[in-house]
Amino acid sequence: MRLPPQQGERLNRDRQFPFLFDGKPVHAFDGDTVASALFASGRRVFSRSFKYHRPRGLLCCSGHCPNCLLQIDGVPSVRACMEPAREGAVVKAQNVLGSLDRDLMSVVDKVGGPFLPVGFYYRTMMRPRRAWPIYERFLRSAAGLGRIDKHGRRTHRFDTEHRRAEVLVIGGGASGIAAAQEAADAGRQVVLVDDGLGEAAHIASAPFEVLSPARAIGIYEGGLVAVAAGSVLYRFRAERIVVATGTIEQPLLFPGNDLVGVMLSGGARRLIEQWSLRPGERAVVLATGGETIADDLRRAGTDVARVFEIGDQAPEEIVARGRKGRVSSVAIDGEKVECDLLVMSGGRQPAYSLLSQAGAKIEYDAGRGIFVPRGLPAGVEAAGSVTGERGQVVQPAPAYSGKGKCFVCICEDVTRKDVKRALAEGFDSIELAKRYTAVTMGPCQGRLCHLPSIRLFAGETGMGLGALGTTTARPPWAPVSLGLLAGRGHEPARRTSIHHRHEELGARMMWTGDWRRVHSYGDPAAEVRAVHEAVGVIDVSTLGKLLVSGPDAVPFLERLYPNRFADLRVGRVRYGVLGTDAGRIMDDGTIGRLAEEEFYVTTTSTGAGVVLEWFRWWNAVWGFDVEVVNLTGALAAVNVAGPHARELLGRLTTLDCSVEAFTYLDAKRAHVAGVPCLLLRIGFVGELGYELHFPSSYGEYLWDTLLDRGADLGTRPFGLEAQRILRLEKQHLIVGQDTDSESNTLDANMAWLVKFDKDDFVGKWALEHMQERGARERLVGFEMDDGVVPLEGGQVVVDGRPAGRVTSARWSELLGKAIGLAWVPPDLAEEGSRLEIRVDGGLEQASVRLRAFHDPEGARQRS
Amino acid sequence: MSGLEFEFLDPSSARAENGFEPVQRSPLERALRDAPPGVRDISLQVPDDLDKGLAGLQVTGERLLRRLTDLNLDALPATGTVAHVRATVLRDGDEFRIFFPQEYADHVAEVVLDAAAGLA
Repeated sequence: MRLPPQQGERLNRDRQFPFLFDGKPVHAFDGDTVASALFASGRRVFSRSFKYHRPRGLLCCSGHCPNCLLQIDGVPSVRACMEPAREGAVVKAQNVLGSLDRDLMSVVDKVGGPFLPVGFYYRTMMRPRRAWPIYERFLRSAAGLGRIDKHGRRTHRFDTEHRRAEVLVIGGGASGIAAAQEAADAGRQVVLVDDGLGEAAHIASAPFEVLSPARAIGIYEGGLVAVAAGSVLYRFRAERIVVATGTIEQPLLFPGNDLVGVMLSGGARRLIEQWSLRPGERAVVLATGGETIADDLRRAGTDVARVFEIGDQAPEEIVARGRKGRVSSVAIDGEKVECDLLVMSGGRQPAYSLLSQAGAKIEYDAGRGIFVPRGLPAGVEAAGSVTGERGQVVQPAPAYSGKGKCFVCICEDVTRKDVKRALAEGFDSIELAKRYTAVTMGPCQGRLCHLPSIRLFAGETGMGLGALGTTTARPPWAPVSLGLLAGRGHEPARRTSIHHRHEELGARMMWTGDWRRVHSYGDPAAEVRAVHEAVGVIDVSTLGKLLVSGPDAVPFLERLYPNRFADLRVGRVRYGVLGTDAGRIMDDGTIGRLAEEEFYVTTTSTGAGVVLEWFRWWNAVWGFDVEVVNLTGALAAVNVAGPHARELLGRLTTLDCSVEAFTYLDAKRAHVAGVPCLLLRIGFVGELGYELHFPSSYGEYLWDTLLDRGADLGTRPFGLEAQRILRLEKQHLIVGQDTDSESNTLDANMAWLVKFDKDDFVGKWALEHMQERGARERLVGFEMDDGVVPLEGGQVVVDGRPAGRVTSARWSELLGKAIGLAWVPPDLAEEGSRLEIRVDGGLEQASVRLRAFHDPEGARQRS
Repeated sequence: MSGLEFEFLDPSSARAENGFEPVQRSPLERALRDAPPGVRDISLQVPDDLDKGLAGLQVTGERLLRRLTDLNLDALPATGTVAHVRATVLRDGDEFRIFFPQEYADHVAEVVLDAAAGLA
């Protein structure tokens, strides 16, 4: 039943519509929230509590407490008191077995109390261990809030928007509006964030922007303020932040303080004023300024049976009793009064959390009995009652005695007895006790339990509140959905300029670092055959490409790499392995000398970023006259490999590609099909090969031309899978695949490139020690006796004990063998040594092979 | 000195010869084929940048930019993160030009078009 229209009513009584609650229609007026419409329909139980499944009713009506959490249109844990009613909405109860009024799990409240003290899950249900999954499933279904659909899909669109404001005011009450007005009058650009409870949303025309309903969910480092406004998360940067979040009315702690019908005075007032609802028929008021509240109730037609001024009358014992979870009477110091509404107020605590997050100090004001913000950081101001300098002084008892469950935290169902038990167990620090009892960690995030719990702690321990201090305030200050935080589901991926051609050719793509690369075009074995017998082309644009130039380019590279580069002639290419200070392998690639003072360095696909930073960092340290330019994205690269590669290239360029003119490890420049290219004669896949580097904008053109002009030669594209087989046939390692953070150049059989006679290079000292110490393990090739391909990462077993690991393994059709690379003890690093490798739980026999499986002399790639 | 100097690899030094006619392609060409009027590919008009590896996108509307970057739009040109990628943004009234590494072209286009759809 609605009251006649009240002053401040937010209803449009001309428009009424239905929505469904647990399958039954409920009528709402335009302007109703889901909660107010349900209350008007006669509903009093809105939720069941977290642990004990006790019935809970409206308490604050301002989005603070957990008592009205419902599932609305599939979204769990929506605060019904803040959610506007919508026509056709589907509203359901959550965390119940049965219905809100008859929840079978409420048996926990009757019999479970002694067995489920705070932290019971830390001490019980340990044995038998195998039963834990059963316990866990039970606990998960018995406790908690709403449920999410594990198989659900993204149903809402959430966006993120970056905003700037000269002045950002948080809070749409009188103080917030005044602060916004003052700043706007001073000519500042102002945005005011209003949660919908204040008056700001109803200002017809303001000289500032109003975001409503919107909630600041946190103030982060650098003054970033995150504001949730419907489906948009605003990330505000403001020159000045004014926090005017006001105060939060606090509950009283007494047995039965969670019964349906026990309300905060602000909640009762909002029901009357905004939605014209009578909160109850017969009320008892326990509050400071209780007569004012009582007058409001009387105007709404509620019979006020008794008013107790908290603070003045200082009762010692308050006990609320109920029937079926609804308050029916309250006994105050033995005086019992029948009622169906108990309006309480334990004073108001400044809502300082955002200020605390911004860096303000929070201190206890002993005179007022509240925590107040002090020492605000530059650019952050507090306005209005959040400063703690206004309002009534109320210092209720930490808890009123009496028999029955007295709830300190209604979110997590933590009782006074639980807090006492935690203290008895030694959790006497407020931060530890918070984590153990979970007080302040529920949906209200301490809004209604922070101050009362600290008062209770202080009362029980005898410590002063000032000494006890407060717990850390962290975002989110307001509830926010994970979808809003996640935003849109975009994943930054790097794609080569030939990427779309690969897709058109039916390639299966895979991630390598943040690049999308081709795994294969459907038949890796055929791709390998093409490279061995005809021509294969592979997109290697993902290789890191750095141009190192300047008068000090030679000493710079000499000190970075263990190799020598001073003797590298212009027009020649050399393989290089980059090491860390500790002599570990970091990356590898080729270094081509383009001119006396200009080098073209390639890196692995995933190592480019690290190598670039490594180069720049050392250059800053050494102060060389060197410039390093990252060309990774600017240039595409294609490797053309196979016995007919020279013939194909000859069709596209006037460059003399004969073996005499363009020898192995030469670098040349030429136009290929009209495109300027840097050509490197190198051979990762073990066949005659040319790596073409050219402007990426010509990627598709040159790729198409290579395939088109090479069609009669059997040219076909190949992917990473084929490349992995091909390089394994040559025993070429892949950094990161065959090496890890402990692998060094010497143990990886590349001692030949380490020039200890150089004055210095990164990692020299470490490598010298490793050389002196001797190898601890060796990277070797192996072939399996019976053709079984072991898993990469599989164990190498010696005398029944793990002694090494497989890093790569593939089946080679060319060799008719399963081959691979493995780290083994040094004494096994001899040709023909026998190994055992664990495969599917059993041991398979293998032999060590130290030379390349295919073309060990390298004649094919030099041809 | 034989002179393999890197300037040789400038895209403008491509030439039609021996029956070959090199064709440049913008990395955004496919992604922006059906773009709304406020989003335009300017990759092939990118000024001669140092590493010649930038794609370019022109978009209209400050609100759209605010959904893409936390850069101060009143203090452009500037370099920062746009659509999760490092980019440089220039402003001319309500028109913004965004330059970023070309290998992110598809990703940036996807984010821009999605943000534009969210505002439509």
